[in-house]
Amino acid sequence: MKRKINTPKRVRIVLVLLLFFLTAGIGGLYYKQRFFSGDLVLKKISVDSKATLLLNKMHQTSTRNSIKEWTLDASSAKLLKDENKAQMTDVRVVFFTDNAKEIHLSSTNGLLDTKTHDMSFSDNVVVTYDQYTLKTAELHYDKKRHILYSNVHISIMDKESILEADTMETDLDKNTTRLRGNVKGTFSETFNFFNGMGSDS
Amino acid sequence: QTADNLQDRSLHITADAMTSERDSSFVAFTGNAVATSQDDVIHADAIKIFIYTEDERKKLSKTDEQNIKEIIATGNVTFTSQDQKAFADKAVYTTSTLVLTLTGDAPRVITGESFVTGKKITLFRSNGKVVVESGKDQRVEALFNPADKKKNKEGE
Repeated sequence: MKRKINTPKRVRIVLVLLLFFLTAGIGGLYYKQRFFSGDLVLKKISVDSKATLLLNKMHQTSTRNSIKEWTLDASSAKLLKDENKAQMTDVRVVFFTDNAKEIHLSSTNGLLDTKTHDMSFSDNVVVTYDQYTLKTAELHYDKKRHILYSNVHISIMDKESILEADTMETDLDKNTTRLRGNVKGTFSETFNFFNGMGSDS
Repeated sequence: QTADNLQDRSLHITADAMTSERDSSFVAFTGNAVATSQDDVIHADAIKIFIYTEDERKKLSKTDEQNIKEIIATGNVTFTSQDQKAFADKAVYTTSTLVLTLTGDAPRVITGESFVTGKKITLFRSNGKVVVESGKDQRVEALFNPADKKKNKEGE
């Protein structure tokens, strides 16, 4: 005589079967994806062996004796592992002078020494201060000597005057600027040499 | 905008080097320095441009926007203006009075074939007057060539 399976037992059997089919289905999907998709090919991955870190939208502030000296923004910065350097693009720096004025600097490329905080700017370097603008292809900031210098052609101008030279060095502590090589200038009566030199800090 | 196409502006300077020190209120152009303003040209070993200090500025009249107070040229100074030429060891030009003072060993002003020399020569740029002073060991000496007067007349 056939034994009747009571209801709770029947429900358990159905659940076990359901679980079995679920597991089998997931397993099948996993193996299917593994076997048919072939080896996983990673495309266009460039490994920069020198970079420790790549930052987008970098911001840095430097202070001396708790006085803010400058702030720096860059759209990208690549920290180079062994050289203590950060290579930056689209750089914008604001230097804060002793008499609460600001000198604004922008350039296509920048290099910051993360140890000494020396900086180098290149390609379309523009420095603005009051109504004066300095333009050059290269400009360097030496933190220890606290000077700004350029070894390539520079021009300093306002609306009506212009001063050009082969090289420039501004001592930010002594408020002194030296231009050397083919110095050429045309000044309106209102040109203020000192503001124009940006050495008012 | 370069220095060349701003040629007719008030003061044009070329030199080998330039130094500006904020605390000293002057800017020094050294090495083959040449300063040009309209018809006046000064050549010298060094040219210093003195700027009005804040306090001096306050004493100036409101309309005077001139920032340059004085121009001092030293070393092999040559000053030329139209037909006039001057030589000296030192030349001081004061913008507020338009007076050029030449000093040194034997400053000399030449116009055509005529010349005058002494210990100190003062040229009043506003009216063309020239004052020559002698020194202990340097008497005033002058040579006037009539031909220059005739030339001036024909020129007028």
